[in-house]
Amino acid sequence: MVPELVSAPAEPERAARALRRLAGWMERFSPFVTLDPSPGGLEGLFLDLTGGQHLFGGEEAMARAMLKALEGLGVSAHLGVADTPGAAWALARYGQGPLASAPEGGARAALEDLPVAALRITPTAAHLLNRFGLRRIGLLTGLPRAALARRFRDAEALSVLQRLDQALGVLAEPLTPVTAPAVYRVTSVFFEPITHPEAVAAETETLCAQLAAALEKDGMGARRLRLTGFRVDGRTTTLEVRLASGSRRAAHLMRLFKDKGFEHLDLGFGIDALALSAPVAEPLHARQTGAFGDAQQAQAAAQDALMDRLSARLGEKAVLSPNLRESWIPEVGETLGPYGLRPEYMTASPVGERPILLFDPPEPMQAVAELPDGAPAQFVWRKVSRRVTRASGPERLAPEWWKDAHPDALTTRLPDRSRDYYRIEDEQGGRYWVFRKGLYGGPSLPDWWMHGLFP
Amino acid sequence: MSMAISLPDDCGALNRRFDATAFAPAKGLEEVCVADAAGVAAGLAFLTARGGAEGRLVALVVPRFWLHERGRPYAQGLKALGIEAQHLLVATPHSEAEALWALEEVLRSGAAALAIGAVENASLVATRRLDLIARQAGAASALIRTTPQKSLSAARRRWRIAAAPSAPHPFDNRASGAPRWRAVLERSRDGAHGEAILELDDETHRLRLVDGLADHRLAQRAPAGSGRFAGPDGRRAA
Repeated sequence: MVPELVSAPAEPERAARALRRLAGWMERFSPFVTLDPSPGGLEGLFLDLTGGQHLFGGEEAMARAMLKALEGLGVSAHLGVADTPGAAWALARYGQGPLASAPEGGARAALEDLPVAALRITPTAAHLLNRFGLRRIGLLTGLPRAALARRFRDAEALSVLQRLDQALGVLAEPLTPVTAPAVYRVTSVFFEPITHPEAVAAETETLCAQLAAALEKDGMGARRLRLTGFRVDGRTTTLEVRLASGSRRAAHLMRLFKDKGFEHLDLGFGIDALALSAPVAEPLHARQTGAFGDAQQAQAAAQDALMDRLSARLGEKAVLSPNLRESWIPEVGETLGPYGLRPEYMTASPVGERPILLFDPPEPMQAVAELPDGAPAQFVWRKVSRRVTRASGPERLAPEWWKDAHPDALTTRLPDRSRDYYRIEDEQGGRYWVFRKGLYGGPSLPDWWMHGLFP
Repeated sequence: MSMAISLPDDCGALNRRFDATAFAPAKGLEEVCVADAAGVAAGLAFLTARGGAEGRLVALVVPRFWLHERGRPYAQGLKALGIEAQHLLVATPHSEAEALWALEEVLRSGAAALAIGAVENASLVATRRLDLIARQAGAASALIRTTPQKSLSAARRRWRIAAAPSAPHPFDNRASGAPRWRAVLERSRDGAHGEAILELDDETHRLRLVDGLADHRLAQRAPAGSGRFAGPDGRRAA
């Protein structure tokens, strides 16, 4: 019938991905962007404009700027601006023209003439209302609520009333933003797209100073920073750094971004807006200087600053420090993890002599013992045979039985075997920490493992 | 017969073949050559047991594979050398260039007393930079290597450290006593060189020299009780 019709299979996942990407890009207008949560709402975004209109010269101008920006991306959009998400949804879809807005407090009047389907209700509910002759929203608002509710079955009545209330602002409608809006956020918009990392760096320096000032006003320090560049092709590019302790020194924040490297920002054909936010911030108390404990605090501050710089350049997973935990299994009781856990949260079970270097996981070895359950007399580790001259032990570490016996465990693992640790020394003077896993007479033969090196 | 001589706090004196300050941690760069896995542990212990790091950061900059190959630093064991868990930092850079950068950064921060790097091929320029920065920061820095050196180095001293049979245990003649290492000072800027057996005092976390003339091998061959400072075991045997 229509020979020139081009057809393509629907790709809802791709569409959802594209919408999500667009949502990130729309954050240049407002930090609070939500994907439309209503069923079938794959094509809508909610933006909270509260408090941001003046930056664009008023609500009207802001909406026009949005439309223009979306048009630039090749996205055809309809905009509804109103007091509530429900009313805005209705205006965007059933209002006049690509931009329909209701003045403040005018949601009821603006919705008056719109069809009931604009209330985000199910098609069956809309059909039912139409059969009763209730075609416009204005007719619903005039009806007594009890009479209206009686015409539907329970759930549908509730949803019609709820949607009506939400549209009119009687009932609050909480929305979940795509990215949690940061309290501390500064932005800058450029006349011309910038494509050079150096230009971004220069701009970031100004933003860092602004953010630092905002943080200082509230006595806060940033723990995490996110730099978002809004690209001209509708994508965003971000750079994140973490801090070991709260900071609001603009120079320090800037240095972290510099270490991380602005070249990691994918600028594409250029970015025309930049936002710097502190998604995580904590109260920062002025540090006392001059009395007791001064040196210790200075040490802690220098240490935190060092961690920030190292993890910005090398990556968070490359800067490690011991995390202690209450467990007597050596490799569980102490792990090497990301820096940042405060020592006051770390507790360790009291232990005997421990090696300074630990093999994790333990390495298998062969050993010959004089007595079945005695210390090894000779062992082969990493293909080298060594004779034991001195040995002490055993120190028996039983498995943590409560872990295996957990009733919610998905799989029934074989119970772990107990370990007998020996501290042995070979002829050259190498001192090793080895253990025999399992007992003689148990279900399986015990085996030997190398677990650490003593100084 | 073995006789241990306690050194003053900075382990600064008393060996005929050593200059008085040979053991004190140098403010600058040093090199420690080790042969095997046990040697790495010995080298690490030698560097940290010399003291000077109380309450300050000790940083270890090693490649990622090192943590599996050589073992990962274990704070509960390092406590015996005087290092607390909150003062231990391990950085695992991806390349030697990044490792050198990280070492410089650690030294420059002023938070660290000791920065140890497992860098096998550091150029003369890189070592000179490290030495300068360490001296300016008043910190000690060391490179641990297992392969022979290829290029010149600006390190102030070069040590060769290896584990040595430990001192006899005072109460149990089958167990290891205080750990001992053989330390060879191969090269130093002030011309000193020599060799000694060092022992760790587990109460003060300090090194002491084991008298070189009283050969420790002799001590080992003799029954553990024959020494003048032997424990109850020895008294029973005598």
